[in-house]
Amino acid sequence: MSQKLTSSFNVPSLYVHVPFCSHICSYCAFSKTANTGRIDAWLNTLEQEIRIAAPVYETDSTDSDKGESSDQRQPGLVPGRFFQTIYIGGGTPSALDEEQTARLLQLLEPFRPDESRLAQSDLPFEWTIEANPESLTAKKIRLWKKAGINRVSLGIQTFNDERLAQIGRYHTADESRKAVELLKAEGIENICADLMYGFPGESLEELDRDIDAFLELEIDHLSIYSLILEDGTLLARQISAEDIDGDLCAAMYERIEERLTKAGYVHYEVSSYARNGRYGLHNTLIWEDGRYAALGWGACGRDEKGLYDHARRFDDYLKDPSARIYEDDPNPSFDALMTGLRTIWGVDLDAWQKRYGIDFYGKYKAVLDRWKNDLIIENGRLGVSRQGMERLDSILVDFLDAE
Amino acid sequence: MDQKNIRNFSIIAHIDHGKSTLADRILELTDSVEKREMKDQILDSMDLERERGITIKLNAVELVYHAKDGQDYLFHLIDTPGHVDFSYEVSRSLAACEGAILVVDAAQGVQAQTMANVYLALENDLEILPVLNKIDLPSAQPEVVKEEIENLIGLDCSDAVEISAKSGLNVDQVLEEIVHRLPAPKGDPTKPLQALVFDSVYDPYKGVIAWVSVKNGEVQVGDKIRLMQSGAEYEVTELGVRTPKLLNKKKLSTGDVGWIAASIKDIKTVRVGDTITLADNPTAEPLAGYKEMQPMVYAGLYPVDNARYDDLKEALEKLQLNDASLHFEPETSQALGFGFRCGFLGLLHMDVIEERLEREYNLNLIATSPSVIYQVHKTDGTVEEVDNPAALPPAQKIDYIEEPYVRAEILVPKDYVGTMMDLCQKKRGEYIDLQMIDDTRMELIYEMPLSEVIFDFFDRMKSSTKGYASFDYTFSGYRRSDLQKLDILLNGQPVDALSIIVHKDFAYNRGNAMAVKLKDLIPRQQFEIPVQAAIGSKVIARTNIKALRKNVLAKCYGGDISRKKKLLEKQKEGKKRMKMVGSVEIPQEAFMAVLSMDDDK
Repeated sequence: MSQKLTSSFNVPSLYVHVPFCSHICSYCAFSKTANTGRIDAWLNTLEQEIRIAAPVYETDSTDSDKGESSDQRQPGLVPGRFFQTIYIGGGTPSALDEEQTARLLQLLEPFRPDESRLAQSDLPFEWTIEANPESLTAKKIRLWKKAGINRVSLGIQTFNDERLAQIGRYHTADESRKAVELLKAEGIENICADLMYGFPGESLEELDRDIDAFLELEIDHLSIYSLILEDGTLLARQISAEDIDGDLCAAMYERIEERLTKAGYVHYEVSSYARNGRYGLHNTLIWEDGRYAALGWGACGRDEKGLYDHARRFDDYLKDPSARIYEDDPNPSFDALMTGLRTIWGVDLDAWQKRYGIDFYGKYKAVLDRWKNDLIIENGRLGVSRQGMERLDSILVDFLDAE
Repeated sequence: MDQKNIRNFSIIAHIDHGKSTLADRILELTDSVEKREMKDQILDSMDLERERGITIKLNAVELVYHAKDGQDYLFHLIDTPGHVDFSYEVSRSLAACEGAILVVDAAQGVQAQTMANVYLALENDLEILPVLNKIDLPSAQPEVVKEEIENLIGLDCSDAVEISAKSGLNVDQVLEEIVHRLPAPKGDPTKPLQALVFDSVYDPYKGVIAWVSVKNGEVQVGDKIRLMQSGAEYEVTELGVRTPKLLNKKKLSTGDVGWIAASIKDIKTVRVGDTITLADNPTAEPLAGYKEMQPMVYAGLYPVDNARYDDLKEALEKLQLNDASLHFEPETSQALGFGFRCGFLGLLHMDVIEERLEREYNLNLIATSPSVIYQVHKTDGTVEEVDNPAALPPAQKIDYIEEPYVRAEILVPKDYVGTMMDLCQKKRGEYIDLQMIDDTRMELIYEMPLSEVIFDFFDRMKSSTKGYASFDYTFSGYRRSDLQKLDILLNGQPVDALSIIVHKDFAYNRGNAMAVKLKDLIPRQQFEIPVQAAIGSKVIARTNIKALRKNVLAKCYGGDISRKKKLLEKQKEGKKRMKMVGSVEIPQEAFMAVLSMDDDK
């Protein structure tokens, strides 16, 4: 088991959801709307949400005593206080035009940590924004950079133009390459590519071509997902789960791991690869059972009370942006295992037992026996073997069954 | 109400010919329920019934009909349970009646179950009132169908009412016909009480509720009654009728059809078909009752969770109350633990019982593949009856085996006769006869092994004739057959609950099909699992369930956590329906694999 990445659970993060897309991709099940005409209304509401959720917004940034006590309350939205990471996801954050982008960044500006605070952390500050190749412009990148954004996650999906059309993406492989060049030229070094595999009819050779194309980009992070047919998506209506060959998907998963590892990337989470230490910090904190605040319609957060979401309907959000709807989550201790086991760092069992007041070994003895070849306990951390990670859900079902 | 103004009748029909719809219309026309509220009201009262543990089916309703002659008539409509399309339940209802309305689909004509039900009605000396339904369908051919009924069944159809139960057309005429053509109950209210128990259910508050048809005499609240078979005596606490709400009354008299509660806690003392009489003034003779139906099909029922064995036992006892044809006794399986070997009248019956156990008693069950009763003649000259393939004696101790045969009567359109004969042949059928019914249809008669009939015959008949064929079967006797036990080994271990008995000529194909089917049904697990089919020690088919390679959801970010957890919960629910046998998890369906596999593969 590798040493863990972070030093404590309680490094809060902030997730901001931009629920707009210029169009809807056929496989996507995230909260989004293609009605970009409502962006301005949304920005106004977001501003309202920030004001309500962060009552110290106006006065606090200079009052250090008050700030200190607010910090104890983390991970509430305390501008100027410490968020180790900010992640702007979507939707398509890059679908905002330059003016809208500037406004969003201005609203988030107070959440950017100050230098002195950063110096106290053993982790870098990471501010990520998701972007699509076709909506990327030099001007937007400059705005981002100026605001403090230092990482861009690019929705490339595949370098096969026919596939891109099939899954309803509006960009081409060429545009993806140009987008990476543009980011690098503008000084964004920390780039993540999002790819998919396991398309109906995709062969290992086709996958190899995608991996080749990715490696040519010379970027440090890859998130690569097998295509999931989510209920309620257009794609799920177009093809059936039976069109996707499970064995082939497994072979692809293994091929990706083999080739990326050879190229110097660390397979640090089920679907994530990084080199040069550029792990996706925001998501890693969440996988390590961190607390994260959420802003914007469609954004989910977790505080000490549990997982929460905003109003389900966009119009309801506009009416009451600060409403937090807590999920029925009877066993958050399981959530911590579910996400923690996805990474090579696994779960710190002492911390877990302390946090949830559960005797891990007593409760899960049968699961540990049953999966003794796939589950590893080392230095007080529970992790899964390479094979175990590939069939993690089967293991997790047994953990869930022991609840 | 005067006894001569009482009419007790059932509605009989082939499945889907419109029996329930007609019953609904009759309820409306007699103002038993408002047309507008019809559905709601009936559902409401059913919810109530459920809460009180009374059966969900509408089994006997009392209606008042104001006839055109100016008089009021009391109707007892006794429902023939719609979900079980075999004769036993129907015959129970019919024994409580004097008449039956025979509903025939004017487009489809006489079907196998039409005939079977008519024969039952005739056996019970019922007056039969033929009614042609769905007369508004463009394909309706009432004249042709009337002729068919006259030719096939010998019923005079000159006065048959042509109706549309759906639209309500001419249903009022049916009511008049009931008044004029069906006889009033004949009994004598001054004689000692004779009440036929045609159904019974368990109510947690009232105890056993017996549904009765009073043939002679009368019974009142406070009377001491005797159940003639068991000799048990109880004091009547409540009685009444259903309208279709339960309605309490002070007494039930000759010709009445209603319910009796007497704080009966011991459910075994009330048998359907028994006669209830008064303890102080008993009748000398019980009513004819029903002939005990012998189960034709046996299967093991096991709780997935072994701890629920006692719950299963209690549930079976309660179900047996209104289903005397259900037999069960404890058995043990190496693979499945403690359970019951249950006898059923047929596969549908088995399905219904299984579903009721799961739904009404919240049990999670595994049913093993159904088996018939084999007569095993052993080398020592003794004969053993075997209803569980796992219990078949070793081959060297068997002289020969006999299996039950049935006479199958199949009504089939001319164009499909060839297809149907092929199917019967494949099922080891022996051709007996083929007769023209009319210009378009023929009746095909085969003698077939019952084990082949229960083994997906019905589904294949329906699919190979586009649903046009219908059939009925009756037990015809035992015949000697060349049979063998086919064992299934998972991960090298025989699983007794998966053993089946097959004809020698089919052993190889079935073994293969079974192995392939199990490979499809058993989900991949941590390790590779060899699936083998064997006769004795000889492996005749083998396949492998590959080890699970990949089962991990690609994405799990902050916003995915609850969705992801739901997916895992779903997988967990799926696992709950699996049984751990040795180190292998086997889903429920796998134990029934034999029923759904394709022989031709």
